[in-house]
Amino acid sequence: MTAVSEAEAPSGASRWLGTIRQHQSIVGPWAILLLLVVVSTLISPDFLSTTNLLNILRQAAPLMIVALGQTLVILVGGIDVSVGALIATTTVIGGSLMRDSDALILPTVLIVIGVGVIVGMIHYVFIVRFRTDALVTTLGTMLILTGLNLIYTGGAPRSNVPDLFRQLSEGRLIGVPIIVIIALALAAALAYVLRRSTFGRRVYAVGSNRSAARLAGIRAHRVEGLAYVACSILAVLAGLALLARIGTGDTAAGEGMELDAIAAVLIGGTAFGGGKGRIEGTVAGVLILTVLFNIFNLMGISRFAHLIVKGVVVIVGVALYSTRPRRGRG
Amino acid sequence: MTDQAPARSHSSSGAIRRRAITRWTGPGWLWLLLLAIIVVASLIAEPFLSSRNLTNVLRQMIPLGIVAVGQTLVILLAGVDLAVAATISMANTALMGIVAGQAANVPGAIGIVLGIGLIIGLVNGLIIVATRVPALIVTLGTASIVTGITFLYTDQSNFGEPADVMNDIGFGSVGPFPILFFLFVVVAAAGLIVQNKTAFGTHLFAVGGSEQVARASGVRIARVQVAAYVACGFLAALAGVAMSMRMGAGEPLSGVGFDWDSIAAVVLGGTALTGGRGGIGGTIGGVAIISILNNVMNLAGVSSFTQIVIKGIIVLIAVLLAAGVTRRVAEGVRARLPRRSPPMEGEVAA
Repeated sequence: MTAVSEAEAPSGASRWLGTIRQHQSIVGPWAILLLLVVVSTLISPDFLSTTNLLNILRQAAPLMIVALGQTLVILVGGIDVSVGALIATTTVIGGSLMRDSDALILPTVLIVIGVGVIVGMIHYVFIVRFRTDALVTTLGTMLILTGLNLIYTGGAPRSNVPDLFRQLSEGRLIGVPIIVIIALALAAALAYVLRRSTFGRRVYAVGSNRSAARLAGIRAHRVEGLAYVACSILAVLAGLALLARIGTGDTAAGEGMELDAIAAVLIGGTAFGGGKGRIEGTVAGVLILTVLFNIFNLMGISRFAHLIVKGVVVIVGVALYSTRPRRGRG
Repeated sequence: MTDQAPARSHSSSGAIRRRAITRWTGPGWLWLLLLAIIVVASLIAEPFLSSRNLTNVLRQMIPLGIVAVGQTLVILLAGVDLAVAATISMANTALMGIVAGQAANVPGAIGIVLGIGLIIGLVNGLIIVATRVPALIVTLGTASIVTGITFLYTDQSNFGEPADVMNDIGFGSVGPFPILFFLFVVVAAAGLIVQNKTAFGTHLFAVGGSEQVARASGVRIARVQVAAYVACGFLAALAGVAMSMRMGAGEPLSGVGFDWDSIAAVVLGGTALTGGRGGIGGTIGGVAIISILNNVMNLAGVSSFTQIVIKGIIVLIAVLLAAGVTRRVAEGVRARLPRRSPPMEGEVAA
């Protein structure tokens, strides 16, 4: 090993290649994003305008926030398909409780975060304690949340959102929408935690080999539980971001976002099954999806065709990185 | 070793005999649960036991039952097929679009639609085998693609028109049995025979149990996997055809929910999502339970919103059962009782 690297050391090019290979899971998604940006600019000159770029980031913010939580859960070897329903729940509760009053914003935010914690704890008890299947368990909570939403609203949207709250999406700090700053700050914080903190190391340890991690003295239950609770809280924050943008609490808000988030995480190079992946990749995955939708809108392509392309992107994107590193495993 | 052999073979022959039955019927507790639900149902809602309502229950079972048989094959391989709902919608709209009210078009249309189902399954299987991307993601992707194509084709509005023959079949019955119920019976019986009496069935459990061991034993894994997804796609299209027989037009969203419902039925029927354990017998019980619960909730006037919540609770209960929480509790109780014979670990399913 040392002999090889010493032999290659003089060659700058191969060292570069080595670095790229080492960080393949991050470089890949960003390379695709770059390619997409170049192609988009060629297709539509409007694409590179500041307005459009900021618009893309603003559209990407809620998806980015959910995808961060989904990354955590997938890193510990799980999955959470209930986040879309939780986003809808957040917009419904938020849209109902704020009653156009600035004073009620903070209590409402605390209440919906509490709801997120409860959902996360339910996942913890089922998936981590009882070792139930994560996909089906979160499917169950998804159905329950969707049903409760419909019962609560009777299917009618709620829109009592005060203007101050909407500033989250409309307002700007040095020209950048506040929500974009929040989303990027959350991403940076989580990326730092995963790279540098003990908790981050434990996430990778539990995700790649749970029993080995436990033998090493890591309380795997706690790490997994934290991942699920964090995922639910981030879904709630994404719901708030979405509510600030659309201004309406709707049971259909967030529909399909669980799948978009999972797609973004996997396109971002995080391995399904846990232990491998980076927040930086997820951010690129979210931007890839959002840029794709944006360029379709600019080109006036039917929204039905979005679905087709999204499917192709998910399969091709994931297939690109999972080119048999785990031969022999299912 | 030799001393223990007789005692061991004695206790395991009982287990083997039990397994010989449950591989056809699914776990015994499932049918007890079904019986309990039927008793409670007839107490809660009086009209439940009327022959007209029972015919209704059977009718509701048909599409879900057909999809769930295919879903079982895939889940036995530790896979999953989330494209079935989109396939059903596409089958439904394509069938109605091609038939366009003409009875003469019906056989050809059914053939084309079933062919589409085969192709969707083939694409799923080939991508999964070739790229080794998890089945969940691949079928999620193809589901998105198929839905997009269906929406483009129909412009997301009701589409096409059935021929009278189709509705005659869909609403017709032989005695208390809806005509199409026999289609479900044939599918379920064929599935059970394939699962229990063919080499493919054995390979299904082998690959689902351990891909490495199956490969080392000379099973052609790729072939088994592709075949399972093809069967699942075909059965989803067949379910779409069966469903269309009772509809007045093709609806681009008609299949929505069948993906999760069929997975819930399979899990409720005792098939492990990790693959290699369970089978079609249990799935039939799971389908019956879900259909009866839906029916009773409708009879009792439970709102459709509340029904979604209840369905979620059922899924959570099923997943607890599947995780063996009840078994672990039972083992805890048994551990406190005096032990009679050494516990047998019968992990070789099939």
